[in-house]
Amino acid sequence: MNTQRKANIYPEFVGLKEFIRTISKSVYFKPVLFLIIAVSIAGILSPYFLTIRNIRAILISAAPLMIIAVGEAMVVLTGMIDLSPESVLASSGVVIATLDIIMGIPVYLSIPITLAYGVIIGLANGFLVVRAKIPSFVVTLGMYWGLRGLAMVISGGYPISPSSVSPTKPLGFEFVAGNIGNIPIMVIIAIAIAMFFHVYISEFKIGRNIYAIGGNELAARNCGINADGTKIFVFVVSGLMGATAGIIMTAWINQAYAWTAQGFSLQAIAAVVLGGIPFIGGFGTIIGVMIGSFIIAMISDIIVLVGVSPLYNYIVVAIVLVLAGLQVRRGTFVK
Amino acid sequence: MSELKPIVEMVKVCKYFGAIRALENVNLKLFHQEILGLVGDNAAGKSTLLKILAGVYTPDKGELFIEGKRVHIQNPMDSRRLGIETVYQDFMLAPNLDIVANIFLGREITKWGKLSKLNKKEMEKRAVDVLKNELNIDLGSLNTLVMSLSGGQQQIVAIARALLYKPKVILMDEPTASLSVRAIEPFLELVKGLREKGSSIIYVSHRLPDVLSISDRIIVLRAGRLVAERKRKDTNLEEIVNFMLGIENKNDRKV
Repeated sequence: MNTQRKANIYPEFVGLKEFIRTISKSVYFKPVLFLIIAVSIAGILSPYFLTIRNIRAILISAAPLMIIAVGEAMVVLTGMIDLSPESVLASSGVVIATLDIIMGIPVYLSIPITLAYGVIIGLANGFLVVRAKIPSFVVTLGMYWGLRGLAMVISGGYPISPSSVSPTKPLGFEFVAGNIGNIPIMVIIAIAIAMFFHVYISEFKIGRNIYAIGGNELAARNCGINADGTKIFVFVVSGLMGATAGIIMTAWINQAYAWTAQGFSLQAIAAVVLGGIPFIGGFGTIIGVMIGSFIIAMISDIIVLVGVSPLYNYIVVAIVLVLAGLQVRRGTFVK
Repeated sequence: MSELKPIVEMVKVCKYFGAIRALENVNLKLFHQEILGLVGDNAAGKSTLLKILAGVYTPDKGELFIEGKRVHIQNPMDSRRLGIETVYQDFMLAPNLDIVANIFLGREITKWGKLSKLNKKEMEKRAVDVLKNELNIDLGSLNTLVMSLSGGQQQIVAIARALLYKPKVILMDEPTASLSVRAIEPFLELVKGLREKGSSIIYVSHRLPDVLSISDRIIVLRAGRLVAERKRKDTNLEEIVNFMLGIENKNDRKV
């Protein structure tokens, strides 16, 4: 065979080719490669990029996106989509701010109530898709509008901040925006959430169900997998992640505003695609999505560092996204 | 075909889809360790009949008996619990998962109780066991994704899944439809081997020579009704075709 003849003359090149071929089969290969390319380009474009201070800033801005992207990843892995996360985030922020600041409810109640709100939204999304059989795109698009509207109605269109009640009143949960040592708590929370779900869907049956539904839902159902329950579950996770991100963001900027996080849903989807999960689902990992979130956050950072107008942010994201889309191509036909 | 009591019996089974009479008063018996060929033209009701046993459809009229006991099969899980496994023509595999994951699809071995942590080592062991000992086939690395396998190999995975819990009955619905011509002969040998190992098989196929070569008995459906039942040695291709199409035999020929 050809390869064998080549091996006799250039053994070291065959070894290298084999090595690259083997690691390229790993599910982490493409996201990590993307990260290396992105960091290299950024490092070349600006000497300030690879400083601890700058990386820390990127991680902080990536944290809420990462949390939402984890929920989005779970939904997209099954082949569905969730357009509502940014509205869950915004409305959750308004909810917890209202509970905490306006109604004076203690933190140990207002946080669980807000998280429960996220779960309820997830259940609503899930049941509408699974029982009413409305496509996930339509259901979550409706939530995208409806929950923004809810946030506007509850807040009256005004930001809710502690100073609106009293100039010295603190937010009950500002610890979320604090640090342990030099590490921001919200970054710890985001990475912990991502690692948890990565392990959860790799090692536990629910994860097998999720990937199976993404791969061939009919086969999964015929084999007895509870596809309806799994689909509702992923929406509940996504809703919970939206609420978590809403709490964190409110703590970070010390106010809740109905218009927060505009465009976040699409950024989360971009992070999911960059992380290696195609729209048909069934492939990719949460760690990949973590990397994707970091890259998205990196883009706005490097644009500022290089001195390009932040107005170019969206265009750069667009270019990166289409390039990323090339690497998650699956199947002969595309919709 | 050593015992007189059938392992599966369907009595006066009817299935309607609106005004369409997919099955009308069909009686079927499957005996132990036999291969029952089920043939018929398109829309004769063969797949429908199989799907009733597989739990995909429920009959509108009639009764089902497994080993003499009356049963109600409401879903595929009920069917499996009764020891009936199905091999579909399009395999029903998840292409993005590996061989082991597909063999255990929906029935993963788990630990930690309700937390359901996947016991990947145990599943890999059992998968190797089924492929080596029951099927005597080597598919290479079991971590290969199913979508990288050939049609014949994918069919093996589907069969391995069916054999996992030593089923009493195996239903095969057009199992060679997605196979290359080269893969069909070894496949037929495999099916005969399954009978030798103790399974009872209902084999549905359009490929009549295949059906004739492996079946012990053959039943013919036409427009939802059972029109003929013959022992393999008492019939031939022409007679079967005539029954399928409803042509009267002018000369009674027996081989």
